[in-house]
Amino acid sequence: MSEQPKARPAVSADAAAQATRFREVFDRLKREVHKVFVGHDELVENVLSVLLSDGHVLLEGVPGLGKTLLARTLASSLQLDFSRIQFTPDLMPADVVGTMVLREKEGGGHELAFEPGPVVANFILADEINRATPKTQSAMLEAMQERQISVARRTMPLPEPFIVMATQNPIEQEGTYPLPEAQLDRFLVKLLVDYPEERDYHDILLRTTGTDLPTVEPVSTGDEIISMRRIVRSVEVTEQVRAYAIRLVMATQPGSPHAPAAISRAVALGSSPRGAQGLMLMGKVRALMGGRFAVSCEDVRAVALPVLRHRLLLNFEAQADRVHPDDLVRAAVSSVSELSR
Amino acid sequence: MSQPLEANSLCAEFESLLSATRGRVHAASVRRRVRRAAERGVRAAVWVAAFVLLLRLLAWLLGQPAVLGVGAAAVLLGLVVLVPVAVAWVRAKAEEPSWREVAERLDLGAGEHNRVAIGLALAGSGVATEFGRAAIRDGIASLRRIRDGVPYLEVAPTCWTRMAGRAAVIGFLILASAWVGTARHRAESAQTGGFVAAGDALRVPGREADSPEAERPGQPVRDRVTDRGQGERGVRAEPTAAAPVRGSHTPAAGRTGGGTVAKAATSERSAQTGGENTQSAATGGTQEKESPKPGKARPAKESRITDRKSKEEAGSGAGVGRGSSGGGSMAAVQHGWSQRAQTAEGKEDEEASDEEVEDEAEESRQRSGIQPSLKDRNESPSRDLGISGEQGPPGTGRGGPTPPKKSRGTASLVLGIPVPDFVRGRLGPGTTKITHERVEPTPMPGEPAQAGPVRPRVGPERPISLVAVPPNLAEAVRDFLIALHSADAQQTEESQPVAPPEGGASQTEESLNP
Repeated sequence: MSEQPKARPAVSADAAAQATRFREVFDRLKREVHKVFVGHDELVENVLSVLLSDGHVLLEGVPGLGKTLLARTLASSLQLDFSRIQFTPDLMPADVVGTMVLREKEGGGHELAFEPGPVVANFILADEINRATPKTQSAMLEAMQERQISVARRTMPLPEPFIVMATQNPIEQEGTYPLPEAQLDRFLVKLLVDYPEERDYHDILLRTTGTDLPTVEPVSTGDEIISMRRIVRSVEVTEQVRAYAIRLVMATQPGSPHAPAAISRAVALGSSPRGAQGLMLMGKVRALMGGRFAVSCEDVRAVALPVLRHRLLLNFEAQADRVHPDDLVRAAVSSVSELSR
Repeated sequence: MSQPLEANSLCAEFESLLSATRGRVHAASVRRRVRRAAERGVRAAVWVAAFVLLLRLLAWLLGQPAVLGVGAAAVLLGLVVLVPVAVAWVRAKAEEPSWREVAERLDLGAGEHNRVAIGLALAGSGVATEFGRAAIRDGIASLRRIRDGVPYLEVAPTCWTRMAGRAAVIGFLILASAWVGTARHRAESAQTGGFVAAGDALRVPGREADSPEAERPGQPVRDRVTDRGQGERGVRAEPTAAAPVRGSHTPAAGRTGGGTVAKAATSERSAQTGGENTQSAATGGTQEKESPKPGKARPAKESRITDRKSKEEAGSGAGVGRGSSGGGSMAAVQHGWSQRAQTAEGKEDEEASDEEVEDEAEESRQRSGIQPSLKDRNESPSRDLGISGEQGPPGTGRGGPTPPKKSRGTASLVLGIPVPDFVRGRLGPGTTKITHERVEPTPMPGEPAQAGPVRPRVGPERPISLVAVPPNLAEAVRDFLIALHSADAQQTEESQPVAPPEGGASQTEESLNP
């Protein structure tokens, strides 16, 4: 073996300290969430990664799997202004973003004043988001992307940190409205909530049917979340990994030179550049959690499924053949080489 | 915050650590590129082998010598595989991998999350943040750890199963090509034996016909064919005259026993044109077509008539029992109508039909004017009932397809014959219009009905007798009835409490006193 570099440390002290601090906060939040939410380690890690990479998350799963519970638990573990919007078919955009109301002045007379809606908060739980009409769903577009809302002639910035966790049920089609592509694209990841493992059922029953119900304490603040987001953005990305992520996103676009045959056959609309941004941000969090200081191609591959699956718009033939977007993302991942050209 | 780096020293450190690995990566790169070239070459060799087999099959079917022998095909296949491999090997040897490629391939083989490549890339950039510096140190540490311990891994291992499958396909195609040549040789041998057995006077036309072509490559094909027919003419005149050996002579122009009767018939036709026409036949049919002369057209037509007669003889069963009389390998064959129909579709019959058209045109010119030809006939108008089709061009005069008749008067009178009926316009009168008229109810004037008790029936409940009263008793019967009813009316008035209406007599009185 060659000589080891003992004289100098393996990594920079500041960077290592920041990475360590990041992992501590991450693990602390994860433990607190797991007090209530049993199992689904990867799901919880992905949700926390979205929280720390300044994105929004869409949870999809059949009823009863704890989507809303996960969102409420995470909100409870953070000292943030929490707001829950129960999306219903008669919900209007003004019910989400707020509206101008007529108020009496103290000295007499009336004035128009802005009454903010529930979206003006740090942590938004958009429950059953696909039950609202596309008009109401579109009210979230500006809030999710621009972090601001516009009512009448007034634009109001939203508080930081701002995260939207939306849930939807994939099986109920009656009375639901699929999310528009523009809305879907604004979610950093789409996570599928699956049934828990057999061993998890025991914990679920013990924690939910006994007399001592678990309580969640706030273990982090908004400022800490913001500082964690800065650390995430400090992680390095080399040209090789950046090119790999770009090729991977282009591989989901039919007609692209990187797209495999399965994509060209089944996809009508591929991922947008937001997909590449999502790959980078989620990859950075994953690199930090792995004790590394730069994103690797393996990190990009690991986050490709949650980041890209909801950005693929299948054509009619693929929908008729019941092609799953996850299979197409896997095909894209397997077709792209990480070696530089 | 980005800070400048000692890029040269860091890069030199990376290169010194990667130098040992570079040779291994280069060797692996050479192996990989050679393997890919071999795979591509084998894939191309499959197609080349298939093409060779196709060529040999075509040559066999057309009776031509094979363009490519089995040995030459094997050499060609070897070149198809070896030349790309050699080129790839030379090029791969000449191109040394870059340090970045070495680092990337080392990461890929070691599964180190691109640590080495990231460190090398960040070190080469010259400026790095704290995380960048940390990544560089991490890359160097990782490189020290893995550079000797981790073997280089191929990205995609060779798929020997697929290669073996393709090699098997190539072998099969080569064997098939060789079999095609062997089968052809056997067929020729069998054909040769049949001719030899048919008589010593018969020669093998196949072999002999090929050799003059090989000796005179510059001569046009048609001339060569004509010469061949001329050369064989003297030989084939004998079996034409001798009926028993005619069957064995018929396949002479072809390779098989009964498949090419038309060529044989053409040979016979050429032979029967006589000695005085030998010179013109030798000049080729092209000259005959380009400069039709009266002196040449007549013998050609006579020869066709003779040919038709010979065909009729063959079709009428005159050729039964024809075939090999010498006990050769070819049995006596009686050609059926189906075989004759197949032979009639040959190229020579097409040429004959062209000649017939030219002859008719020539005859028309000789009759000092263009006469209507039967070939110019057009289809007669269809008399079938049916739905009208496209209209023909107007003003074309007689002839030409006309649209089928829509209806026929007689047919329309007979029940059971479907006659297409067309009604222009819409089926219904249009949408139904409903008008609602609002009418106010108006009261109608009327007198109120007076209520009264129902009177019981008075009188016997028996049928009224309609006995005719004689005239002399009519007055007596009338008086009696008046008296009777007046008595009944008085009794009714006495029993009724309600007074009769004012100013009005009773119904009974009115009826009784008109």
